[in-house]
Amino acid sequence: MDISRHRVRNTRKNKRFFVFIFISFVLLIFSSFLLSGLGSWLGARFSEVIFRETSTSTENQLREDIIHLMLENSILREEAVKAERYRTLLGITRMDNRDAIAARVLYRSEGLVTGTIVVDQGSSDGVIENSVCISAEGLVGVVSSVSETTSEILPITNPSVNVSCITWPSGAFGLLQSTSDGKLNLVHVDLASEVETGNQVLTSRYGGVFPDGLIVGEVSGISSGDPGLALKLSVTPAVDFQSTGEVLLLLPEGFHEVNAQ
Amino acid sequence: MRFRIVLLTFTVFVQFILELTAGRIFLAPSLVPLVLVYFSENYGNIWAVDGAFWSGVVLDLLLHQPLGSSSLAFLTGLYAAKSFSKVSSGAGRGYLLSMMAITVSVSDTVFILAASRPIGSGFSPVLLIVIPRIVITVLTGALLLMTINRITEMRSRKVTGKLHVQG
Repeated sequence: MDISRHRVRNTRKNKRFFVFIFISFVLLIFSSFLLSGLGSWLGARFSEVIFRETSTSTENQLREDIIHLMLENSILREEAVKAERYRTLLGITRMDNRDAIAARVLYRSEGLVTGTIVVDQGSSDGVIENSVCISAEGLVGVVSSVSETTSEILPITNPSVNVSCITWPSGAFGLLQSTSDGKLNLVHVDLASEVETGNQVLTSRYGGVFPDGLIVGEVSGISSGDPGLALKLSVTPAVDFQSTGEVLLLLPEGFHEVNAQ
Repeated sequence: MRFRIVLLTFTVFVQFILELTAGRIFLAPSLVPLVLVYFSENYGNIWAVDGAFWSGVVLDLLLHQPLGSSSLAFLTGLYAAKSFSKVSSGAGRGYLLSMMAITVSVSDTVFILAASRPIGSGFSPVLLIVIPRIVITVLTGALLLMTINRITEMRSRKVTGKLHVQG
């Protein structure tokens, strides 16, 4: 009798354990939808309910005009303060045809596994997947997933992000890769190139994802990669990923014309 | 019961602070598995399993990690430790420290594999970071056990001293 009771208790304990394991798996698979997707959707619906227009009387019309003018005033004031900063951001891209969306970093993941950054602009603001993300210092990364009001960015220090780059002024082409601990290396660089420590690393026109001319970092070390075949350059990123606060999300060239069609 | 909830809550909070401070400089010891091992040895599996799940969920929310990764890691680590306890006949400090080391090693490995994006990309030399973390955690656990033993000894000396005086 005691043995069977003990067995029943053990079975219940094991069942509880496996139930929690199953719930953890479900959370892991659907967490991005739950937290960013669903939370973002709920936030958008909440905003629609709270801020929708309800009255059409003259007083309300005047009130709306005042609110509109106040908002415009504050936007113009804000733009006047930030004009220099955005001029710097747009100045380094050399792209006149691209639309850009300014975003703020909401949070970044911490702990044993770090890297993903979440910003406060999403699909309702025009962000699409694979948009390039830059800051005043240089290239930050690429948008990996978009929900209604937020977007997740994979930084260039993530091993799954590769960037075709060129060094300046030496002009050596290479592929920027990240190691699993976040260190950047420019690999497959021609042995004959005259690259030196301190050369800037910029995005090249090859690759198709990143526009050319974006600052990636600086060459901090040169070593032989595959023995006798190519050089491997250590790169110090231009962006401090821990303290980046404001970023720009660059939309593809001609994006709005294509959408308008 | 209140003591267990407070202890686990406090540990989760301290772990969060450590990840933001020591974790950014080098490595933070993994304290939650220590407390879960203590629960499983003294209060049974239910406390340890529930504690592993909820502390994992809270930590993921605080550290902005994929939800479910920490709880999956802690539960797996506990399972490994329990499997070890079934095959070993140990007791005492060495046995507890071995349980802690196994829990931390398995939970950190599972966490890195589950939390890295894309999933599974953590299966790389980054897993080597688990080794120094086990060392730091076991040292922290040994220090805690020594401190608790000392306090217990001092309290028992006080009590036996009183009995002796009364006798």
